[in-house]
Parts: sequence; C-alpha cells; structure tokens
Amino acid sequence: MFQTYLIGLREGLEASLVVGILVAYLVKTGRREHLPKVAIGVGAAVLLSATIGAVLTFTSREMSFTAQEAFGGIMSFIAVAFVTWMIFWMRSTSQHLKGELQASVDNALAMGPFALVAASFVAVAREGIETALFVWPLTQGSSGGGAAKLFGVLAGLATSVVLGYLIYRRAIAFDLGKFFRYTGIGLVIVAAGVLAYGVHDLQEAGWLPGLANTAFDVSGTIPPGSWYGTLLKGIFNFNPQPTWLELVAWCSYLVPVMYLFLRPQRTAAADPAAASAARPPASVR
Amino acid sequence: MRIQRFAATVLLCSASLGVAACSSSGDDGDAGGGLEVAVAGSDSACTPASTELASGKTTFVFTNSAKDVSELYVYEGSKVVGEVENVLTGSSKNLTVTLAPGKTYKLTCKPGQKGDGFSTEVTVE
Repeated sequence: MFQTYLIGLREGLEASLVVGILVAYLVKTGRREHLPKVAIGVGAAVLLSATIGAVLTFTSREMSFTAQEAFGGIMSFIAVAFVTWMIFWMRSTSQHLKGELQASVDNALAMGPFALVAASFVAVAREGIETALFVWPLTQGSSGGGAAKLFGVLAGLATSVVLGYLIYRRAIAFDLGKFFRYTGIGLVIVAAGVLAYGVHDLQEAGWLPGLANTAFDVSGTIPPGSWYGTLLKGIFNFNPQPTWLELVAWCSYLVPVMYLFLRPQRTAAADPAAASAARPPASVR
Repeated sequence: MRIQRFAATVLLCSASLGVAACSSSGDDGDAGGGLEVAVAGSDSACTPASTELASGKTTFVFTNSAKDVSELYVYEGSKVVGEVENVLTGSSKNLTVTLAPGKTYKLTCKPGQKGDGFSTEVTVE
C-alpha cells in the first residue's frame, strides 16, 4: 500500500503545484471569476485521462511503447510552453501592479481566460494518462490486496492535492512582490524538470539519440522509491540517472529563463520596446 | 484572440494525440496475441522462462518478487523496445513487443528503479 501511496503522490504533485500557483495568482490579483476556467481545464484533463485509461484497461489493449513515450514527450513540451507563458505573464502583471491602475491588470488578463483552461488542462493531463493506466487495473484486483493498493494510490493523489493547497495558502500569504518572485523561481525549476523529462521520453521513443549516455547516476543515494526521491521526482522531475542530453536541456532552459525572469524589472519598464515585448497581452489584443 | 486560438489548437491537438495513441495500439497492442514468456524479477536477478525465443509478437509477463517497485525494459542494443513501470511487489504486468528474427535482446529488471538493474540476454531464432 505504501508503494502505491508514493506512486500516487509522485504523479499528482507537479500538477497540484502548478494548479495551486495558478489559483493563488488569480485570487491574489482579485480575479476569482476566472477560477471556473481552471476547474474546467482540470476537470477535462481528469475526464480524458480516466476515459483513455479505462478504455485501454478494459479492452485489454496496450498503447504501443513508442506512442506512449512520444505522447509523454510532446505533452511535456506543451506543458513547458504553458508554464513558461505563465511565468512571464505573471511577471508582466507584477510590473503593472507596481504603479499602474487596476485597468492594466485587466489588460494583462484579457488574453488569459482560455489560456488558463489550456494551462491547467496540460498540467494535469501530462501525468494523467499514466496515472489512470496505473489506477484502473487495481480496480480489477481479484484478491483483497487490490483494494488496499487502490486506497494507497488514491491517498497519495489526495496528499498531493493537500500539498498543492498548502502551497496555495502559503503563496497567498506573501505580499505581491515576493509572491511573483518565489512562485516564478519555483515554476522555472519545475518547467526545466518537465523539459528534461520530455527529452528522456523522446529518447526512449527513439526520436532523440543518446539514451545510453548517462551523465551521472545517484539512484543509489536517492532511490526513486524512497519518500525523498518521490518528492524530488514529483516536484522537480528529478531523475537520478539523467542522460547527457537531458542534463543539457535542463541547463539550457534553466539558466537563460531564470536570468530573464530575475533581470531587474526597471530596465524593461524604462525601455518602451522591451516593455511592450514583456507585455504580450497588449499587442495580442 | 491569437492566443485563444492557439490555446484551443493545443487542447484539440493533445486530445487527438491521445486518441491517435489509442488507435495506434492496433499495431502491436492486443496483449492477448502472440506467445507469452514469463519473466521473474527478484531483488538480485531477472530471469525469463527461456533465453531462446521465437520471433513475432511476444508478451512478457513480468512478475516482481523484489521488495521494491520494479520496472522491466526490453533493449535492442541501446534502444528501448518496450518498458513497463510501477510494477508493485508481488504483482505482474504484461509487456507486449514484436521480436525480430536473428536478433539479440536484453531484458532488464530494475528493482527499486535504481542503478543498472539486472539483465539477461535473449536470442530470437
């Protein structure tokens, strides 16, 4: 039961975290009316994952290995795109919040609504199908052990949701400046991990080379089956046995994006061209 | 507007990807077809019922008796042909792959999902 608990926790953590931050952001900027859009995205992803998982389980079909990995890889890249968008969207909004009127915030949010649905959908759907494929077979368990295992994985998922909620509570307690800074830094690290994960999936699918070229192996010290390995994997997609390509992808996302995120905002505001570039909503509308 | 359309496209794409992934399962899905080969994974070994297999669609029935969650990989050289993850202690999962004649494959069990795991080579006639 503890094994399935850790699996549920791992699969649910990252989605809970991203959705928790999205919700905190909306609440923090007084945009509660957009919360249903996040709920729609999450609901659609859960439904789609559960349906695909059920169809595959109960018809005894299997996704081909390549299809499964390619799906995981592509979903990861889409998730990275959305999380990156979230980070800079929130950053540009925090800029408005510093001195301008609430109207500017409205501008920044105008492009948001549908993208909000999509962002929360992708955050959940990415690991959703894999989780559903793990959960459904447990419901077919012949012995009593199946029920305990099922309970374990559901408790793990529930724990991840609770942790997401706690992060939400902690995040909204910060003042706006700190809120944007901390959640942004956290999301950059999360997104870098998702990118590396996506690279690994595509390497397993055979779409990218270098699967055998492992950069380092600390899986003996940080086993994925341990609770700390689970947390690191669940939140940051930490892989104790990354390939070189994964590591390169992780660094080449993390370093420039973190730099762009942390660069002083004043520079952007002083230069009109940079300011409008950092504020895509205005031009999009 | 552009962003909204983009988001809608992404939603549609990922939905259709999911459907496509399912429908493509016809190619090498259908876990029931082909030969079944039992693979026993313990804390220190990865043992298939036979190391000489027939070509064609093969379902490895992987049973994990190790104390940790395990995984089974089928490698052809350094390329992964198939993988099952999250196999709990005392449970089994199926992995269906298509084996080509005259080739050598490596079955790797990874109890605890760590290190290199334990491997056994199998040849296909």
